[in-house]
Amino acid sequence: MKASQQSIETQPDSKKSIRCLVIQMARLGDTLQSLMALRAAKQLYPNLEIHFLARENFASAANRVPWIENVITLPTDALLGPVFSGTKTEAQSLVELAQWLRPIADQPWDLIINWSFSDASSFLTGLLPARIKLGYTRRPDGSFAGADGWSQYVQAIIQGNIPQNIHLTDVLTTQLLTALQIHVGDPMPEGNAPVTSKTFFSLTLTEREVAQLAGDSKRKWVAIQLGAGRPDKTWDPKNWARFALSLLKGNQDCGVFLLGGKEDLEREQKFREALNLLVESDSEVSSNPNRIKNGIISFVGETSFDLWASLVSRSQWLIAGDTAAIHLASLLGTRVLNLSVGPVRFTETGPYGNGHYIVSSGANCEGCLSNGTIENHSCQSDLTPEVAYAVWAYAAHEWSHRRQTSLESHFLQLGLQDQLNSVLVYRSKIRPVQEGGGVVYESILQKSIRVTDWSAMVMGHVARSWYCGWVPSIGQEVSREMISPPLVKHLRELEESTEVLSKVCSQAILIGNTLGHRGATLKTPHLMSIQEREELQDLGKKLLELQGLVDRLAQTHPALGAFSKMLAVQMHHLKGTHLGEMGKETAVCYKVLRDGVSIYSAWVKHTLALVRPVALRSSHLNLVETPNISAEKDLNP
Amino acid sequence: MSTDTNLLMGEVIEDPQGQEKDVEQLLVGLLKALIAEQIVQTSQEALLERV
Repeated sequence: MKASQQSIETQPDSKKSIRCLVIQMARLGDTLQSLMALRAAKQLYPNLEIHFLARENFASAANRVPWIENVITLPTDALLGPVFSGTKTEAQSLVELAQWLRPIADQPWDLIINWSFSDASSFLTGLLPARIKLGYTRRPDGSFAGADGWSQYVQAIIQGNIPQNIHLTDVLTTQLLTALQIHVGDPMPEGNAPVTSKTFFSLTLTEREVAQLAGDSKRKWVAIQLGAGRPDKTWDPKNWARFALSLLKGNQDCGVFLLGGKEDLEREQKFREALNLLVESDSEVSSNPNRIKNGIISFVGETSFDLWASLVSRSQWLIAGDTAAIHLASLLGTRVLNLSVGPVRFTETGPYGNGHYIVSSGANCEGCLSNGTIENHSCQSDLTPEVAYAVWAYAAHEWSHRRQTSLESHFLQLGLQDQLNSVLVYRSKIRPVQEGGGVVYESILQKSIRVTDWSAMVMGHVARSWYCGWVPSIGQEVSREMISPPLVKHLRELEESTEVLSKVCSQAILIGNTLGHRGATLKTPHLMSIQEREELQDLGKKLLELQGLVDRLAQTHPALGAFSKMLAVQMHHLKGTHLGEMGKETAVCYKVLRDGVSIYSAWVKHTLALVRPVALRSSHLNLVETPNISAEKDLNP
Repeated sequence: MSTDTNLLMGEVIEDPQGQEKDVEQLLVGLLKALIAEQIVQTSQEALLERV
């Protein structure tokens, strides 16, 4: 992709700064992911002057980053608390909000990036003046807009709950770097150093102070983050106790840091009660319970970011559910075992880097699908402490077996092979640039891929073709052994519909171009003959019908919902002010959509082709042997 | 497959300070959206505590 223009008049190696405001009004986990993306950008564009806007409660991490110029905090509690308590009216709070905003709005920003992807942040971005804006914003008339392609992808696909496998950190990084390349030029050639580091943050605690807190310096520490933002995104404390006991029994050189906020103190209490009971009933350790208890140091209730980051940095491993701690560990280069329970998509928010492990349930969980109304989460009961410990033991000793031993063999040796049936295990890997870059989670169990995993993989490819101009060969990540009967059934049902969708797009491109041409030939956009008006109305009506058809296809096949949602977002973002312009833009939108559909269709065909019978020819026996019919039946429900 | 750079460059504003916008409308929208977010978050926390 070439730099087509430079809206910011500077070169990466010049001394003129690019004043950049990053708006991150979400929670701490999002801040940490944003910092990783910013680090990559700062290395490639050293004259990027980064100012970071965050909510007061979640600004601590940004405050510890030395290369951030300034952290601006939004005092949410001070602004909203009086409104909720009734001590101030909304009008009074509005005045305070304007007073807070004024100094920020008075500054000359080259670039504002809104990585919050929320309604509130879109208003803030709309209010602040800048030469370039990325992310959610507001148009001068106050209507919502996604300022760039990736923002529209987030709106349609990620927030539309469509399975896709591009990590959020990669979305943010690519979004920013692409915009910088367009507006500023090529990056520094030496800017590709690793982003993660033990010294990512400038922490106030010294190594010595942390060592004193940690006690025995010879131990290898494993940090356990007890809680999460929601109780369904982490284990029950009894499971944590079982895991901790297995770890300490099996690894005498290890110790456990228990981590959590004040809200996790009750959780810690239950953990200790459960651990005591387990120790008393375990003949191996009941005679010397202090060996286990002394192996655990609790920092639950300590809310200092410096201490938390220092402890995670000092640890060999972090074990956690879907919580900000996994992003902190990713930044600090501490390996993560992510127990992916609850309604989470680890492909988007999992640990970032090489060598992290993710364990999740292999089945759909009704509790997760119910969004909190059903109490029982099978994803939690599937992921037992024994399974988690066995995976950790395998991962922690990679240096000895170098993954020449399969995970299945490891579980067989432990007598736990049956428990592997209900879980999926992945290992993270950063792909080389020539393979597309970014993080990918590779399954390390020989299992067939689920429909959602297949869909997510394909959507990731479609997105890369839309926004990176790059797509690898179709189907190189899928092999025959990975394909299951449910996936085959799903794809057979989908095959015809993708063809129909492609034809609908082609028809819409034709009509859009016709509308564009007709609109362009009008002498004025406001005056026309009755015949011209009727013709234009007819074309417009046809376009609406075609959009309706796309929606109906998506209702019949939810897998095609991605295209329906993307189309709706694209239609919202048409910029033309005259009919002719909008007609042409509509044609362009459908062309982009059709390109995506053709990739999807190629994937469907390729995957189905993989499961067709293969004729084998033997020159010795002069036989043509078709694969056994039972195998064929297995793949054809 | 080529990529439309117009799609990736973001919103480009020639005269940021001179851009006309209804500041009051946007400020009211910001405050209301912040309040709505707080209400949703509080409700979700209450629901999860019950479960």
